[in-house]
Amino acid sequence: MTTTRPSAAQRAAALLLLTYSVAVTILAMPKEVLPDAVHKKTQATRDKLDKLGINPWHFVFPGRRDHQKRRHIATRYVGVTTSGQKVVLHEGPEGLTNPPVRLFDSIKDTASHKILTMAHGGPLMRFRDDEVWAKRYDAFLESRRPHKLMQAFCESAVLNGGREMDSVVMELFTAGIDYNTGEQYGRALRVGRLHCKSSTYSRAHGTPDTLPDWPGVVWQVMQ
Amino acid sequence: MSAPGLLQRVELAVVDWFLKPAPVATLALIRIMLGLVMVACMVQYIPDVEWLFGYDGLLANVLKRYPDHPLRHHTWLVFGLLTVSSVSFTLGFATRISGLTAAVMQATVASSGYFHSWGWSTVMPVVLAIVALSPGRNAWSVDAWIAERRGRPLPRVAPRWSLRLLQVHVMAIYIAAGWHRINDVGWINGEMVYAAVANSMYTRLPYIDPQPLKPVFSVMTWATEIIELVAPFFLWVRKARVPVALGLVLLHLGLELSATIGYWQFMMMTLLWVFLPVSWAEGALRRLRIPGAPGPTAG
Repeated sequence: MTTTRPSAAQRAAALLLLTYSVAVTILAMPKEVLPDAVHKKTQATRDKLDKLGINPWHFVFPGRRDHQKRRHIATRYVGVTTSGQKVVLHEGPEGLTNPPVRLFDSIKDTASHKILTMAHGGPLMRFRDDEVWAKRYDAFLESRRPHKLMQAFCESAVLNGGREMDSVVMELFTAGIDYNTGEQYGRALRVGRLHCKSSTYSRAHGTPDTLPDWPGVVWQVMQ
Repeated sequence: MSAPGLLQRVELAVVDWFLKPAPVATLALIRIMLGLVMVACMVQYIPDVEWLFGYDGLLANVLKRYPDHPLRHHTWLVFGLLTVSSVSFTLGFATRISGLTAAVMQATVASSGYFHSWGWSTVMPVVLAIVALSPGRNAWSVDAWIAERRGRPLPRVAPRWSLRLLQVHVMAIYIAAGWHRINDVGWINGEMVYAAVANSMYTRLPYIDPQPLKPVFSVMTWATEIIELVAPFFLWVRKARVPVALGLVLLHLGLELSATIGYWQFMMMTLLWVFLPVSWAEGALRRLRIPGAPGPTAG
């Protein structure tokens, strides 16, 4: 250790670095270990930094989940052009089925999945019970995210390949797995149809024409 | 001369801890590896940039907050700058400017939300900025080569403040990752590795039957949680530091082999070098056989 007295500049620098280090450590502490008052006082700072895209305190993978786990999710957007042509505008993942070994992360698939799962869509992958599932599905529809997604494929030339769209149907495929039994329960449905010109939305019915090839998944009958 | 008082001793210890000189090899290696992570990410992102981030892309049409976001209006400028600055940062050319540019651009991308990426993307700007301002450019870089040619070589030993800040950030990441799970039943019951492996959003093997492997996944869950809980303490204990850091590297390697969650694992395996002996970083860099690279540094 240095024995001579450090210069004023060195002391000031060390104090600044120490303050920063203490602040980083406190901000990293979750509410489970930090006194409630301190956590509440510091939350605004975390939120502000997060909004700026700076967040070394990202709390990863919390697990408060029951024995029904998420298994698969996939979406397909099918458009009908004004000339009556039916076109698959987007599938995430392509063909609805992942390769048996995923070497690379696809940013398109990630966005396609997360945009659903972060808007009440995540629970749709889990529930075996039809009633619980139906409640979660209603919450998902109320989030208006499906409506927005269909509208995006109606209007965006980047997303619909510059085609003049008459309507867009969103199809959703989800599956859960029971931790205890390994039972896999899948659901496939047409979420809705958006009429592009009038922007009117109607709940679509029936199951999609094709289902993903997910080994072991038993598809539930949708009412 | 009288013996220093308690306060003075504390002050000396703090100054020493942050400012004692250390070889720059570890920082140089981290600079190169973080830069490569950013370049790999850009290579992966660029084909879908317009579809996702563009003026009329998915985010602009779906997210409430995105239409006013700078990334929507300057998509190619941001990704162009990010790509060029990441390459430049990796090579150690105009390292400070390129590193800070990469940090700002990465924060711009990350601030558009978590719909396209994972948590690593918001951690990256801070560590990029620290390395950019550090003496990580002083060796194994174009900057060092130019300085040498001009007869003003950059010091190969410099105050260790940036190493310390990176160490603090690594500790903070494990605090944030591990400590919120202390009362989490999913983790306590050993179910979370199963949950990750079974979930096709994460797993590399989307159709593996997880059921027969449950006991293995339970052990892996508990091992993960234990090492992430204790890492913030034991990374500071001299004798435990290297085994704990290597254990964490193995953890991230295992995660990388089993799951696709962006560049979390590569970023963390890079950052963990701050807890490994500097001679290891020097050895790794010497293997790169970069012309004009310095010899081993004492200390």
